[in-house]
Amino acid sequence: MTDSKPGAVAEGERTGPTIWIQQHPGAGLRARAGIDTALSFAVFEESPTVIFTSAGVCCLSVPWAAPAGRKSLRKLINSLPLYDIEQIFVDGRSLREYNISADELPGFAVIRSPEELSKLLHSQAPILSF
Amino acid sequence: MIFTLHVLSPPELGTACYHAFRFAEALESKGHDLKCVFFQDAGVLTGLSHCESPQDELDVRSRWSALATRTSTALYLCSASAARFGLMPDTPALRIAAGFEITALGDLVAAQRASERVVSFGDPR
Repeated sequence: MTDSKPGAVAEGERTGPTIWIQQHPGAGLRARAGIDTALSFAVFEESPTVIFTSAGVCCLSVPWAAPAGRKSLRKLINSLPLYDIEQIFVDGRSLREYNISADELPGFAVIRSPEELSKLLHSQAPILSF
Repeated sequence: MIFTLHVLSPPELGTACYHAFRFAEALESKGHDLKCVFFQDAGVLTGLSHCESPQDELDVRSRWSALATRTSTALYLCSASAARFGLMPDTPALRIAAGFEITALGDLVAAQRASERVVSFGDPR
């Protein structure tokens, strides 16, 4: 794949860092820190790959993405394409575990199996885990 | 090999900060170059100067400071996280320990560019 747009990259193609978000949006500030970090790398044209697994998939669910008193992470995630992050990868098994349907996800989310995400993670370096 | 470490937990919340420090010591002993340690999220609390560890425990904060002095490793505290946790350079009660400095996420980007390996340490929640 030769698409030169940051974020719109083929799986397995070496790009910028991978931002791997595993924390629930209500469990502290770590998920927010991960998204902020992805945006920073994008601003510096480092083409981050963003992956949501485990409780991190709740960042994509509108009801769960906004813990009481905090800004909705989903709104922030919706802005990722403005920073040329045109795909995010989401663990399908985690979506089922948290009862989140594909319809709830942003249009640029790509659902992958744990095995596919494992391959993707092994093809990427470095990985910043949140 | 050039490394950057990314630390998301302070010494009091789990073991990730301790393991990160031991990893940094191992890098030093093996002759690797630890370019910087970037503390983010609650990890920025590692930069507090007024915390005391029990005498029979490893004082990870002072060890980080000593390592920074010894190896010229930069100890960066993410400015956004520091602000969230009230860690400000001009707040006496929340003074920053020697060797640490508050910087922006751009410094993490720069450190990643200059490093061959970036390793994250964070306790699960």
